[in-house]
Amino acid sequence: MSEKILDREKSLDLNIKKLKGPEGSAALGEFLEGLVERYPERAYAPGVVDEINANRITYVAEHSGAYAGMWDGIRVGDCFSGRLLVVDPKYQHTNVVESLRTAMFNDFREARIMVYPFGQKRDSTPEHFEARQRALVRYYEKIGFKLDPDVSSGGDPVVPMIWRRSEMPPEQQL
Amino acid sequence: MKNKPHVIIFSGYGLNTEDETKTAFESVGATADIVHINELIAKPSLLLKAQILVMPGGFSYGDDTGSGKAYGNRLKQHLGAEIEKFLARDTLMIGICNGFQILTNAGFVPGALLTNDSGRYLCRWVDLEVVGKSPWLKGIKTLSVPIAHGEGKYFAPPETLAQLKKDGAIALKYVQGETAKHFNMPANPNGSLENIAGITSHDGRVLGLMPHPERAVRFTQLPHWTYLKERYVREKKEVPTEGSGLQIFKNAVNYFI
Repeated sequence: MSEKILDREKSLDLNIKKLKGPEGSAALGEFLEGLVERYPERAYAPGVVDEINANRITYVAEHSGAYAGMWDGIRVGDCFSGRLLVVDPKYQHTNVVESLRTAMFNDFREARIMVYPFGQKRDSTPEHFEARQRALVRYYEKIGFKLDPDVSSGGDPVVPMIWRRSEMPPEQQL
Repeated sequence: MKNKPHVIIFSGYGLNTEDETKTAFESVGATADIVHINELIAKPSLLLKAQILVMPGGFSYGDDTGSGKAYGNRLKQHLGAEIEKFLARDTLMIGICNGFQILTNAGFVPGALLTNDSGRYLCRWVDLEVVGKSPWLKGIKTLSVPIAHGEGKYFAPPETLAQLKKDGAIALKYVQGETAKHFNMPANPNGSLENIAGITSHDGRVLGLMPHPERAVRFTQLPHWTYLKERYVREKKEVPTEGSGLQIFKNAVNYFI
């Protein structure tokens, strides 16, 4: 997918890698640790159990030898069950997400995510939450996801979304 | 202890079932406060007022680094010693759904909760059989309660599983009960190892479970309650008012009376 789908201020020369299992875990830990040092309010959890790593796929965007962003998830058959999409804030408004997405879409027939606004302030109101969630849904719609009609959130404040290669326009089917 | 117990329900960073959990405890006579984890970190002496601690369900840290991982780390690093002191008293603790994931990540109960075998978030009702001993589950044989999770597949290495069995710490298993039969659904919703839905600490006082008993405290919360009501009426049986999850909260309160 080469079409411009996101507003961005500059396009970088990114190196996209696909790491499997513990390599992805190690990269994610290193990346997040670096982020947290610079952005201490952003909590993180290092490491995952070996069982998770058995099916883990982590797409890594590097720029000039540094991590710019990652999309971490679990392989379930032909489906990528996404967990964490994270971009170093200094790389926001670049092509990091678009590049990660393209790499992931190339490998899978289907991808699922649960949209939930992370990092709510304690004085956030339900209106704040819903506004952020709507913005996140719009963002994921921009990069190819749609509301998942087959999964109910059961009233929980999460939005299940899905991307299916078969539902993309023929010229965009990778 | 003669007085009814006081419950502290953790909140913050995306936990979101504090209110219904508080309501469930208060409906059976406990007093309960919802307290942000940062307040407890700043003033851990608050724990001295409580007899029951609850890690409720939700989506702490958006599940982004693995469900319950970040909150569990925060809990362990900042309040781990204080909670150990709390548990050294004759107290109870429960982790529900995301709270169970938090308790495993913080090391208060063993094992891990992994991505559902389907790769999907699942929201449905399940039937449970009580197979372990715990004050939380006293007198309960079966339960029908809802689940709502994307990472609920219980996993433990063989040696941990063996120890859980030796300790009688496997508390709850998914079974093909009334609800699963009615809706023609598989008993085990997520691929959990040996159909495990909940485990306890070795002494039974800490319970972690993926299903939500606080969402099954009234009969009318059952997804097919109208059908069941009609059946009870035709069979000239009394129509229940309570959901089976309520007994868990009653048991916790009765433990201290």
